[in-house]
Amino acid sequence: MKAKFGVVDIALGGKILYKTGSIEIDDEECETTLKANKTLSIFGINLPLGKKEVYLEKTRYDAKNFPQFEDNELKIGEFSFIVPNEEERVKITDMHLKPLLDLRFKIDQELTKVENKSRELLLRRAQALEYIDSLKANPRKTLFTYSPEILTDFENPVQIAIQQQKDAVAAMISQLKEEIIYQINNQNLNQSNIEKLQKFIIAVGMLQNAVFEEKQDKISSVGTMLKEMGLLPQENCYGSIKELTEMLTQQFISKMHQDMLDVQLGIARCSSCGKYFLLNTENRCTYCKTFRQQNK
Amino acid sequence: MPKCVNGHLSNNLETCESCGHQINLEVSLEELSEFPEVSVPWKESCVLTLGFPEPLMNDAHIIQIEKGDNIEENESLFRVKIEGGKTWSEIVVENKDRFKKWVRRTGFYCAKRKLVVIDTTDVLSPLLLQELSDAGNMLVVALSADESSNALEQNISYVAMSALKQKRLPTIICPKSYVDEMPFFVEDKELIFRNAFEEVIIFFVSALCDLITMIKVNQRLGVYFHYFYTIFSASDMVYPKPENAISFQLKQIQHVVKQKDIQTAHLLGRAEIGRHENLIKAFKKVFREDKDRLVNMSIRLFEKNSEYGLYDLVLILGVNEIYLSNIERGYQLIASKNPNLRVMG
Repeated sequence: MKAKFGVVDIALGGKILYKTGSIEIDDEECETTLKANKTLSIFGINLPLGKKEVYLEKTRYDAKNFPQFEDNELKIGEFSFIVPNEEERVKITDMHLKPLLDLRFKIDQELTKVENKSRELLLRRAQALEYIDSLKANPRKTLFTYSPEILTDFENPVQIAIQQQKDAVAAMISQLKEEIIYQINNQNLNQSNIEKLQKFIIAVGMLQNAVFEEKQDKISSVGTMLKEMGLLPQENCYGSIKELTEMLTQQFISKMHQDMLDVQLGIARCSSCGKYFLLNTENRCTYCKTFRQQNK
Repeated sequence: MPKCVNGHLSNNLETCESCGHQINLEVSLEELSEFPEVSVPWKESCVLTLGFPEPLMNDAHIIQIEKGDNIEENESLFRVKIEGGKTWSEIVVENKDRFKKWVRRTGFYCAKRKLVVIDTTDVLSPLLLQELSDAGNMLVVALSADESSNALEQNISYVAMSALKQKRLPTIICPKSYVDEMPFFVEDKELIFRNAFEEVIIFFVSALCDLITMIKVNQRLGVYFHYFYTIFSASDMVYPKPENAISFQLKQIQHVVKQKDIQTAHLLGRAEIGRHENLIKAFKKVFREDKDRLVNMSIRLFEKNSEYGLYDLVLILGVNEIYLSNIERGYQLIASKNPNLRVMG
């Protein structure tokens, strides 16, 4: 079934709001089918027939309904539309991308909130462990660098200082948990990704403890486990607890972020031209044709 | 450490190593607020000094209070800014909160044994002694003003010693003029003249465990205050018999303490092993007539290798009260001019 698909801008007050699809049907069979169906489902949206121009509303897209380009044809489910030229093809992609990008930016923001809280928690924990390490080596000097509030004469300042570190970390864990619950309730992030993030945080915590305790065998076993789980990008874990934490969070969180957005939404950002493009069977940027593998 | 749904600790993030059940990610996340156990190596002894240069010793942590041009505090120093001739009373008001916080943060109260060495004629001494708490296992070594001190020194010392008296802090006292007159030789490659009081403190720190035990026994018998006199590098040439040295010490202390008030007697010493028995006999001989009256007597001798046969003795006598009558004149004189310089509370 063939139908021509074109793009028209809808402008209000000179500002382009949305690009719309216009369908020109010149295939009898297609016309018959469409008329029988009354509506045409395109990009996950039911388009009422009889109108040449169709307003695309912002909605949640499902990766399965993404249109796929094959040469000059745009395939959506059982329908295929002829895309007259490259310019039109880009316009169509742009048209899809607008609501998708809106959604992506929203999820991006929400995800960033959880990631930032996770990163802050792990770095704060690293800071706490390094502080306790310094407390072990030189308790008095460390106590004066960071002064705990000791209320009675006989309180042990070291225990108070350690407790304050624990409380600070516990408060951040609590904030992170609240954020996770909020995101799950709002269906911004899916459960499996949240679990992956939780596992990563716990694993980094285990690694931090192993480095803190200077137990080489434990560092090695935790490192291997993380690597097997795809949570640790590198086998060797050197440097201070803080450096290690920074390295792991930077690498893992940015990778996970990208994966979540790409896979969950079916949209990727091209590392070559910087534009967003729909994931397609060609697996390359719609604009500059750079393969997505290179984007990784 | 990850915890499974049944509460087992696990090294695995997928399933529990003990029961095979799933890991509880939420609980495991909360576990991150726990850190591995740590033991912090406090030195067992902490010495808080006022009015003396920092004694050189490695087996105790030294913290100091001193006067200066600026306020400063760190893990071992508390400096009070003294300008425009501040009185002890003004210093107490301005610095007491800061001082209390500082002492807590140094971990002084957490040390297993605490020694406070204080020159009570120092203008900072009322601050220290009024704000110091009795943390147990603590001993105050105080130099007191005496007749040779000026009125201002007597006033300050009187106030500081009154705080000791009021708080019943376990104390051993020595009049300051004795310390000033206390020459001391150290045996190195040759005999070196050194600050005697610094050596006394080093000796006290090395014997702190015994000293505190002795003081605690006395505390239980109601004896909180002690007077001491030291003879370091004593020799047979100066004291033909050890009882001569101990008797001399006793006489020196009796310039301040009345014989009838003495409740306990203790000898702390360092000498060659071969001399220990003689020292014990000498101590018993000197206090022969008092042994039925004294509630506690003890001797603790340490080994000392001496090329010249020198030995060190500290005689400590326990009494019921701190004697302030010899410095009351100076105290009253100053207090009559400025009512703020009276004993508080």
